[in-house]
Amino acid sequence: MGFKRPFEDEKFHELRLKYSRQLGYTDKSKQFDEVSPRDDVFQKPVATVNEGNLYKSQGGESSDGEMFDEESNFVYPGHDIDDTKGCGGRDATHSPHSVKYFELDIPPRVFAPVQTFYSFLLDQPARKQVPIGPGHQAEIPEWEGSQNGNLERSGMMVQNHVIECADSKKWSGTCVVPMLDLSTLADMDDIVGKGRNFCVCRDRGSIRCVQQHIKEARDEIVKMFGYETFKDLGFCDMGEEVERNWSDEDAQLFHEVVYSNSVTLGRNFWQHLAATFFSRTKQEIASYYFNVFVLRRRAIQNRTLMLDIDSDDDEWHGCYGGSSRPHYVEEDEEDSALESPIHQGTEKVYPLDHEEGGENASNSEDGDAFVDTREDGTGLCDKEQKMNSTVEYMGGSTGDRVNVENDLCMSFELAHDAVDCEKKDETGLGEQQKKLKKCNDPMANKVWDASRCQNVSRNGKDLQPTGSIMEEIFGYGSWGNK
Amino acid sequence: MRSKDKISYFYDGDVGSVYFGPNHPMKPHRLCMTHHLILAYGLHSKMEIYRPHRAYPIEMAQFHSPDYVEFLQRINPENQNLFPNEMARYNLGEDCPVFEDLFEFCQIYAGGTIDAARRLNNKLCDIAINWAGGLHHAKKCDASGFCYINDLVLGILELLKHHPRVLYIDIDVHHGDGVEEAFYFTDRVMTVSFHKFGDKFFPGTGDVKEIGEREGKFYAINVPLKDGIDDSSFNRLFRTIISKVVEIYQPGAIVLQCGADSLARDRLGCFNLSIDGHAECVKFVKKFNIPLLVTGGGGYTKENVARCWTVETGILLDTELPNEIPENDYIKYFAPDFSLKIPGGHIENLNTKSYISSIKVQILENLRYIQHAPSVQMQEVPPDFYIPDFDEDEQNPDERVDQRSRDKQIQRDDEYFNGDNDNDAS
Repeated sequence: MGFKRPFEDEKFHELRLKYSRQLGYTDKSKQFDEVSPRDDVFQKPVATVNEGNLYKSQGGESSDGEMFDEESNFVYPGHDIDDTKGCGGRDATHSPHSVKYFELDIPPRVFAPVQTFYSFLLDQPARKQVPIGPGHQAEIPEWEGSQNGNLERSGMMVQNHVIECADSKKWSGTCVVPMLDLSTLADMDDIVGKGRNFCVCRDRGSIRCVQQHIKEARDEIVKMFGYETFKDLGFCDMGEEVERNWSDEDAQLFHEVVYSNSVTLGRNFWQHLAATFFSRTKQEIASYYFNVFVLRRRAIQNRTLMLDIDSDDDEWHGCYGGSSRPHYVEEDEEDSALESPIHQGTEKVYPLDHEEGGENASNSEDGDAFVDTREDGTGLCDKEQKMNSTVEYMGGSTGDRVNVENDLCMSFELAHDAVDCEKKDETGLGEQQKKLKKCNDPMANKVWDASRCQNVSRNGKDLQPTGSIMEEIFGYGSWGNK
Repeated sequence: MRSKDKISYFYDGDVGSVYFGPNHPMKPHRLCMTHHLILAYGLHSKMEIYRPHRAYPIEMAQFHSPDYVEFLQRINPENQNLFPNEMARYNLGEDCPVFEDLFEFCQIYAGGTIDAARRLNNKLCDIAINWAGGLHHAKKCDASGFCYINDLVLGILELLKHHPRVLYIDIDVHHGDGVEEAFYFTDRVMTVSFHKFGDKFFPGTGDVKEIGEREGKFYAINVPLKDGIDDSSFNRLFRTIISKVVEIYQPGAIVLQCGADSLARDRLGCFNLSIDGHAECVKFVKKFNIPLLVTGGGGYTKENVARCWTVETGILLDTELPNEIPENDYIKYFAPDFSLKIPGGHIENLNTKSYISSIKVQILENLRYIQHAPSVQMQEVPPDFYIPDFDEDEQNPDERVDQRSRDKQIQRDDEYFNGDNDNDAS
């Protein structure tokens, strides 16, 4: 079975492992333990079988796939093993050992090392073979030099002919939006590809503001293309419009089902959703999930100042399971203000995060979700690892900006320094945050935040109250003194 | 550069609600986001938009085995437990899960690429785009790496009806093994893949020494790279190799797979390309003014996928897009900056100058083998059996035969002995 994710052994990979980007090196020698030594590279049948086994777990052929065509008597000219150019044998000789072989410029790993100019390139595990045979290669139509080719030659071509003769329009797509008149194209450059203009709403950046402008943009498109084309372009199945087909009760139920059936608890919320909403198609459920559920979650996430959010993390939702600890919950409110440190680029103001003024609290629909994310345990637990690596840089340094060599932490460009303490307060964070109001020094905030990282990673389940952390870091009773 | 290429763009909204399963990295919803972003920037005004027809099984069977296609049509999440053998045989169930509407999903993305090829063939457009396509791992008889039907092979087969030579370029972080394997024996398709290789990275093929077989020898190019390659190294290598390839091979059409997992910070990738660096490849290929089919591919950080393919659509339309993403239904995904730029990665670039240089040298040297045959010979192959293009018996055994001819020598069926060892077998 092939895995797109790194494979270590032939065992079944659990879903959780697929996020691993760090590819585990296996001992090269260990790798070859699984292959019986190839005494002779030309003993293809044996080697092939072994290789098939070896690579079966590494994306090799299916059990029916043949490495070579057993039926044919084709002999593929051999290449010298110690081929110095690495691109094919110079003096291809027919091997006395075996009729069937192919692609032989693999150095015999276990035995004579190849001393070539490119030997360092060869310092890889034995190359996986490209499978060949009728079960692998495509049948190429003959080129007759004309457009349609000779149509009488083979069954395949006859089929092609049938397909070609069919209504060509039907076979090359249905036009949804035709090309505009070329004469208007010259003006198009001014209109096409325009970016976002900043609005003048008083609550700019709020959920309401964003929704309004999205609606305006949609209306523009309806005006330009007409409603039929608007539908054809798929707009009716995009965005929060999708929720029109869902009642409030259903929406609430959806949230509950997802929250209470996380993968980390060994459950599959997807199946529960299908069972709960049995009258709805899977498409409707998936559509609601991506267009309403995840989007709303993103809206919350965008406004919680957590900057290493992963919108693809299906686990990132609210309270469930044993990971919520009272201590942790409180600390979480500070952690959400955490800015993964230090991205040495320009500090950009986080544009839409702090204009709410209690927006989230008042928006009842999001209210629950908002509360839930505060209590997120798992999400942060996962991030502990990432925090860890940033910690080393921050230890002891108070003012220096450090380039953190940990890309995992930073999914998005970071905006941290500009975060205003007061705004944090408005987003309804906890007591500890309010204390930060007094700290106006962005540097101090940054250092403090990084140290919070440290604390999170060090203590994991047992987080200390903020005050003692501050004392620990600054080494003096300076908590609140800045 | 000629004035204004005509662009056909293919999209079917039904891909948006395809769901591989919780925590599966492949999320077709990224296509919906891409499409939406493209529309939000108004790019639809500069191209034709098509909804592709759904590929028929018979079309898929132009490459894939009919058994496999038929199984894909039949299988669904409810009945998959009844077919454990077939599931294993076709490599379904793990990386390639069976989900609801799997076959329809395949029909949509494959239909898009086939339609795109047809429009190009009929000269109805200069460039055709199908971001839903590019699933380059699928094999003739099995699924692989989240790919079930290889739309690229189907599209190329379509193009081959009208063009003697087709060039395939793949900038996905994973080796384009499905496409290479399909065309490993032929010189009518040149496959060029830039990818991460080594450290047991999927799929495991794609070494620089993989160059094709038989008539296809030297018509497969692999550029194996290590972690962390950056824009400048990648683009320099890309330009050098591709310009040489196009000059020597003179393809009638180009298929460009733009897998976005070669971007920095991809969930499964390990390169360090920025969107600009990735898009530079698209820009470069477009400049050749050869009929061009552009597809998507990998890409597992969906916001970055959407950004990348939107920027590349803009490039194909000669439109440079401002960074500020306009209001659109999915704008929330693009936090915190809601801009097209993505931050750089911090992976160390393990590709030393000497390593890259050595790869380049090998590849350019291989290209010389076809350099002296600018018009690629097309073998007139009767459909049912293969005969070599010269008769061994007529050759003077004392005369030295050059390498290329030797490579072409295929032992005939009626030869009892290998090579020159026959002793007048009776």
